[in-house]
Amino acid sequence: MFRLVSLRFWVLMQCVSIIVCAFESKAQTDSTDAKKKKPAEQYGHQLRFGFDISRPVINLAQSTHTSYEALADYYLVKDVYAVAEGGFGSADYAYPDLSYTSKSSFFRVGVDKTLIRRLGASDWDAAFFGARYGLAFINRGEASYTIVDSLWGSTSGTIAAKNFTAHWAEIVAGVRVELLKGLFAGWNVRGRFLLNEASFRDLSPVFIAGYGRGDKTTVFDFNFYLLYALRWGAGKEAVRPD
Amino acid sequence: MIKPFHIIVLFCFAAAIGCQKEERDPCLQPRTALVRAHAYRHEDTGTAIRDTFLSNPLLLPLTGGSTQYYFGGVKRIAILNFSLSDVADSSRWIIRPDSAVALEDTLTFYYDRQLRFLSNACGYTNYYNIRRVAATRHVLDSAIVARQDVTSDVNVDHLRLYY
Repeated sequence: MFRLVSLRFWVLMQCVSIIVCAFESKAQTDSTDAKKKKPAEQYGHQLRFGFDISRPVINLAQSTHTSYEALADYYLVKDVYAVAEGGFGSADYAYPDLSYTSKSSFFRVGVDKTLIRRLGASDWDAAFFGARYGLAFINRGEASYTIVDSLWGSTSGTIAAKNFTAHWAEIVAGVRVELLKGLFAGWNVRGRFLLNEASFRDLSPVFIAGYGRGDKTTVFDFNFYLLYALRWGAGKEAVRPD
Repeated sequence: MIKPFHIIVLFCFAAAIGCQKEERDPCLQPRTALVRAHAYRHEDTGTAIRDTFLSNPLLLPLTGGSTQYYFGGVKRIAILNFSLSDVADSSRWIIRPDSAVALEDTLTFYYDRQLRFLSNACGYTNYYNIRRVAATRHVLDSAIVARQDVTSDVNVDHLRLYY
């Protein structure tokens, strides 16, 4: 138990440190920009929108739940992106002894830091790691249960509907590749660590959009995105001076 | 530059993982909370010791229905398990220490039920709080409740049967 708490604390601290580093980097660059007439401007601005195309495929394969995810990221400075993600989903848990439905929506915010040095202003390919903070709102509908007892007789009942809020820390790593001008494909893997597990002890929803298994405190997941980038303010091609 | 080929390979890999049919997790914990009882016998010294002297004990639940179930032992056993009804607040069992001898007692458990969520894999069950146990004394000397809370913990003895 102590190790699990320590692990979560460590992950949370890592997420915080990544975000702090990103903003420190931006702050330093801002002050440098003032002196050097904004050298990062030569890379221009990029706002990218993406959709997780693996989710519809998974939705077809899974009968128990569906989800959809999208993201937007914005190139801040020095290979750091601000990222916002969101989506929604539902689950239908239907078994003879326990059945209910749930709906959920979520958003995540965080930063990504590129690991590969850019070759120039037109090079937007990236391998990255990042951190997220996720928040989901879940509505679990009325649940029906049956306690099977062949000896004394089975009993059935219902559990009232309930709203949950889940929040978690997340570490992420992945790749983005520009296939055509402005059109990207990319994947990432994620490790998620639920921060309020105590709220999920009584009939936790089996699936939370944006998080995954609601009855697990640690979840690993992946995404496969198709993204489109809007760019403006790009300067002429140049190798970034450090 | 990262080759798009890598992306395609990874997408195929991801799709293969994603397309695996998701099955319900197996339930890996006891679904039924049982009353665990140990038999004790009095020694000449005045003390009582836990023993396995019950030979071929027979347990018969009085379900109130036409069907009766027997749980017969074929050897000396140390622990007797009694299930409790989820549709009533009391359950009755007949216990015969030796199946070959027609001497038996009736145990009546009075209890409160507490609905408990186990997991999505296991669903719900009932835990119990034993209020008292009434027993006839044809063979039995006494039945003492050692622990009132009956949960899925299998390392707890709830009832002591003194012969």
